[in-house]
Amino acid sequence: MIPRAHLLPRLAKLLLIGLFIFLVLAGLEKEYGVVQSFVQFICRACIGLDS
Amino acid sequence: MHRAGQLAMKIKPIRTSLQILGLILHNVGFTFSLKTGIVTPALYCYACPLASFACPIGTLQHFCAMRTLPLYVIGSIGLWLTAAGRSFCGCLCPFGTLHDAIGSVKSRLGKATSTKLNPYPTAKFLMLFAVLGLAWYTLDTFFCRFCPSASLVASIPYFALNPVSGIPFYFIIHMLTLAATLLLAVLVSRFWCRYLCPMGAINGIFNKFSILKIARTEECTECKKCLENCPMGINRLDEIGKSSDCIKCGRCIDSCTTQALRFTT
Repeated sequence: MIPRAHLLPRLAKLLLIGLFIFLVLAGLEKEYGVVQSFVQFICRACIGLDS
Repeated sequence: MHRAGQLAMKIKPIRTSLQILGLILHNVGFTFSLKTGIVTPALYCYACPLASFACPIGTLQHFCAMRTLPLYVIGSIGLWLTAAGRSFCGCLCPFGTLHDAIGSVKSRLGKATSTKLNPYPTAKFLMLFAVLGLAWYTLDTFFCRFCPSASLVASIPYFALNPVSGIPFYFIIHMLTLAATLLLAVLVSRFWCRYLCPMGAINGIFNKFSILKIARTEECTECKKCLENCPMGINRLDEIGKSSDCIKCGRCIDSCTTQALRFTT
């Protein structure tokens, strides 16, 4: 049996993972395409090729 | 063979394999569709011609400039980091791998990189605050114009592939920051990761409560050989695996003669 002192941090981590999964799912549809466009289209000014 | 010796044989090859895998996975964007919107907790510029994942710092800057809360990005980074904390800096980040390679070359030349400089955890948090604050204020991904990772994997390849007339001002800035970063990496082990990496700051926050931990057992004789070999300059035994500076690279585990340190969950 897992002692209570060990159980609480594990439960907190589980809750945290749940929260992050919720955030990913909440923003996935709206943001994934935007983030992908950052990878697909290069900002020439950012890498110093345009002033 | 001594059991500790066996363990020392194990972690370094695993870490090297993971670093090579990280380098490959970050560079498989050969086609448009292979350039994904996946965010990994590593400082690797998404403007690299072969980049396949999004740089979290660049992405967060974009959303700061757009004045939007990026739920997907925060959730993705949070999931990675709750699992393994700052071990991504030690095992997956291509820029960290470059720093390790510099240290490795230097030690093969018989000149060990200094690991003794004291850690100053506040510096990288100040850097993170400045990076996101400037993006918010300037409505631009301002840090990208100085980022040494972008200089190496994006500016140089694009400049070589598409030469422009004259040398643009920010290209010179990029080259200067890259030269300074590499010089400092030669002088001090993982200087960028220790003091300046904004991604390292985010990763470090999760170190205390990540699932992957480094445990120290009662077999520890406090000989401090682990601290002597720490590439991040951690100088207290109780900070191994917990400090925001610890990259969980496992060098401490490899160097422990009594097998008192081990990865645990």
